[in-house]
Amino acid sequence: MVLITDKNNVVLDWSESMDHMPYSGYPRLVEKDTCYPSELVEVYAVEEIPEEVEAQRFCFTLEEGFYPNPDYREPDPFDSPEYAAGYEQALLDLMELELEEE
Amino acid sequence: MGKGIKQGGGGGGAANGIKVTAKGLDNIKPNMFATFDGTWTSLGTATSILPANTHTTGLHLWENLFFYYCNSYAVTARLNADDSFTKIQQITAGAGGIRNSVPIRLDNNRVFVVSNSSGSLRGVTVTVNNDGTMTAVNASLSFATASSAVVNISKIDESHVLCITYESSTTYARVLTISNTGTISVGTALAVSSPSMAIGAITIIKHSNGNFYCAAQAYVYGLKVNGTSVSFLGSVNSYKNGYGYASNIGETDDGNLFVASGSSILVIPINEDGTITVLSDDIKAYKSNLALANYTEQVTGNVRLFTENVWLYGAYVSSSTYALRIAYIGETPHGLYSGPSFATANGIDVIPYENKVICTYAQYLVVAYPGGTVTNYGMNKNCITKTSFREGSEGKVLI
Repeated sequence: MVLITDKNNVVLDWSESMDHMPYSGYPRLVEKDTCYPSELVEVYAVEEIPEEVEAQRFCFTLEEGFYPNPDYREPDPFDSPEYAAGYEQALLDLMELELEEE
Repeated sequence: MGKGIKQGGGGGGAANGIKVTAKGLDNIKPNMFATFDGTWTSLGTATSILPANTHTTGLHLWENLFFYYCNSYAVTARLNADDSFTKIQQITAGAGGIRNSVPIRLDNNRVFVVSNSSGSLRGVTVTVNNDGTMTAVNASLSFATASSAVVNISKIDESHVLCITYESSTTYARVLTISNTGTISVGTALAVSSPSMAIGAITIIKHSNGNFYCAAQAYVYGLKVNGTSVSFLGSVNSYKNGYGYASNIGETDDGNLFVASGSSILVIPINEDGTITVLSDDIKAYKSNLALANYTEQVTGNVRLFTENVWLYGAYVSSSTYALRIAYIGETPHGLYSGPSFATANGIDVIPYENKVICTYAQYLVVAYPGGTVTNYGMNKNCITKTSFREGSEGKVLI
């Protein structure tokens, strides 16, 4: 298996095999047709990915193997509680409006 | 020192190699431009044109013809001389969601939009005839995105579109190849995990250097497209520097980037190789009081360029109030002005057209006239111009 982590050892993704993009040389996870900027990631060959491992929630180093990401936090797409709250409210408003008109 | 801002850097990692001189800052400092009292002299009679309860994004096509994409529908409408609207046609054009991208023109008669229906994406190609009638094809895209995420696109050429999505803390950039018949092939995804690339793309510009630069809340980043491959040109964390959220992006006269971020305008130098690497301590945000969205008020619709320095957008004010806002770059008066408020949850889209603003809210189209006097808005040639915020020189922000 090919494992991609960021420079802080956070697991990003994995796949069966890897090649390189022709222009950028970026590592590409073949089965997922997804590449990563070389300068931002580390690439490892590992024998297997334990079932409990999830992207972002786990880290990996050669020395320690997989371990829970101590800095993990639930993703906030707007990177701001205030922003997220406002957006959620907007969606709720929209849903209410739709229900009213139904 | 028009190009001086580009000095140094050069390499992808030249984080300390960029120094912006005072003269460099002068080069982007707006002079005195517009006077605008922030009122709206009139708001026309709203015409019910659009499907109800939709997230609408629009595009001025030609003459008095406008295109709107709403949920799963494409709509064309003409603006009449009395400021009313006439619907030309409404067609089913996709499997809609509430988070469709900005529509862009692939060529004279073809419009392309990506709709996000609960995380499942479709690429919709609409051919608009000269009389405003339409035909459309849509194709399911082979990748998903977060159901609530911004999906944004930018035109590469007449058959290629850069598509940026966000899912699970990762931003993906892909090249979509659109055939004449509307079929779509998807290029290899470039994946960049947050925080390096933040949350998708709020605004994208195609820079005169051929690369794409995106404003995405706390980050600004660059992308290079080669064929159907995308590579990363670095990112700058604007929020970390206390400048707020990057919501709109443009190109300065000397080819660098300016970013509306919170209440500031930031300048980000572009290295010779197209990379952006640093918001240097030497680069001080020009505090313009250009207040786009802030913590309590979000940009919900498109940010459009009205004059060279006056921007319009719809804003989320509170749970039941949305408003048309105007903000402009200037010294006095400055800041954020209110337009008409709409008690609707739908994002308000605004399209500048001649001396008026075409607004959408809910199922309505309505014309608004800025009040006061918008005069003297010519800008110093060295000031912020080239604001090709999006395709067709019309700005676009989707939140």
